[in-house]
Amino acid sequence: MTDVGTPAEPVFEFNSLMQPEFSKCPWPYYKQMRDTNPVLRAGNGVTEFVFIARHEDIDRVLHAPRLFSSRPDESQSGDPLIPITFDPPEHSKWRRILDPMFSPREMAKLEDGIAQRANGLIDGFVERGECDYANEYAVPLPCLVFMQLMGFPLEEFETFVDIKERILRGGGESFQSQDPVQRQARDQIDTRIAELLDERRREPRDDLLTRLLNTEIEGRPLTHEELMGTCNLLFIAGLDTVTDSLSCFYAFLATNPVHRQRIVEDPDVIPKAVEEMLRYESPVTMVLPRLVTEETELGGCPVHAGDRIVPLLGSANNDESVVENPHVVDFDRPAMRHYAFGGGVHRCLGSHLARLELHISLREWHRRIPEYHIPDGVELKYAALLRQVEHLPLVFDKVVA
Amino acid sequence: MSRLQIDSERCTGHGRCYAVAPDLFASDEFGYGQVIEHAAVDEEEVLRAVQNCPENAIVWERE
Repeated sequence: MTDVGTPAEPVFEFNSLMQPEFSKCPWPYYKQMRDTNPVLRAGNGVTEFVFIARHEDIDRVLHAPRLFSSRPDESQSGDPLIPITFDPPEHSKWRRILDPMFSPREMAKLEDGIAQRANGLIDGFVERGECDYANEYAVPLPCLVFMQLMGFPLEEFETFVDIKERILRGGGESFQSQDPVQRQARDQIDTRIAELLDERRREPRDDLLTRLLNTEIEGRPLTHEELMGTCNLLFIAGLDTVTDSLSCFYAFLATNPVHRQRIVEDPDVIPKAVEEMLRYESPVTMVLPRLVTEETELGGCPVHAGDRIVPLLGSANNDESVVENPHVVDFDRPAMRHYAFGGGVHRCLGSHLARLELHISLREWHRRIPEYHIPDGVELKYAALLRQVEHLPLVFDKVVA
Repeated sequence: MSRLQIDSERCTGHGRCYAVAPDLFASDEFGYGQVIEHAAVDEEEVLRAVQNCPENAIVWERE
């Protein structure tokens, strides 16, 4: 008899980042890293990062922007994404004008519109008894909400999503910003955003494009480059992460009927359920790499000026030194400081919109489709870095008319 | 008596305090937390907010 042995423990290495096995089930990799290699210098021959996995180290990096800078290094493209590629004090000026546009009060005005849109999408498939969750719900719901808020034409929805896909996922494993697929997509969106800004200059509307044109920073209007940098960031950030979160959540709920039942029976638990699933799933794997500005140490390891640090948010959120039984999804967890939206000054600008969309989505969906499952034999595939379930067929076991 | 404050240097506007303890905190126009003036505070509610603030920005001094 041949001893086949036990399956090898997953080991995190540079290439794991782009591998579907890691994206689908990152927890054992995170644990292996925290236990044996919490500060890991790793590269692919072209580029190198220092990956960090412990909550304590990630906390420090997110809260020391002078030492761990967000500004791009020479290997990245020159186009700034405002305000994510700025450090304080410059960064703070931008957040002062952008935060009010995404405050909970502003976002609350969108509640009815989001609920209507969610129900409209559900109307489209509920009677069929099944749906292609990603294409029929997780992609259109947040993207249409965000495009309307921005003032991007809704009839161009498919083009915008396609451009975003090519920018975020078109570069493959190169991690180089000069990738031709990405460059072409960037040029395409730049051209369209510039046209839309021109249209709003001539004919203002009630949208963020118009608001940005009328906004002042330090007593002057934004320059063309600043408008483009801001709109580019909003475009990239607004059209993906809620889709990722929705698909991770519904894949979890479709396979965990006890958790799903709780949401159906007690919709008041939804805000807590959202926080707990954000913590556990951590759909956004990492924040933008931080550039080390001077020699220092991290978790006892030396890091040098010019090193780029990658905080693995999902590992911080599942670190047993700060979360009791992190592998258990418990909607009643009383205390939780998760970094699913990042932390420190760069805390996700759209987090209040994201939370609202996730709350409304879970409420409306489970009111109408309380029971559903993934058909047998379907292997879920999770996209890299931003953990989106690319194809998630759901079959409904019970619907409410 | 006790004193409840938000350290504005640390707060980055996650908004967890006014979500988990809406009787004690409210949002300002930027989405950052503000303490609502109180005669007395509910200890359990304060603790819930403190334990859920990702920035450790809530300062509570019991006298």
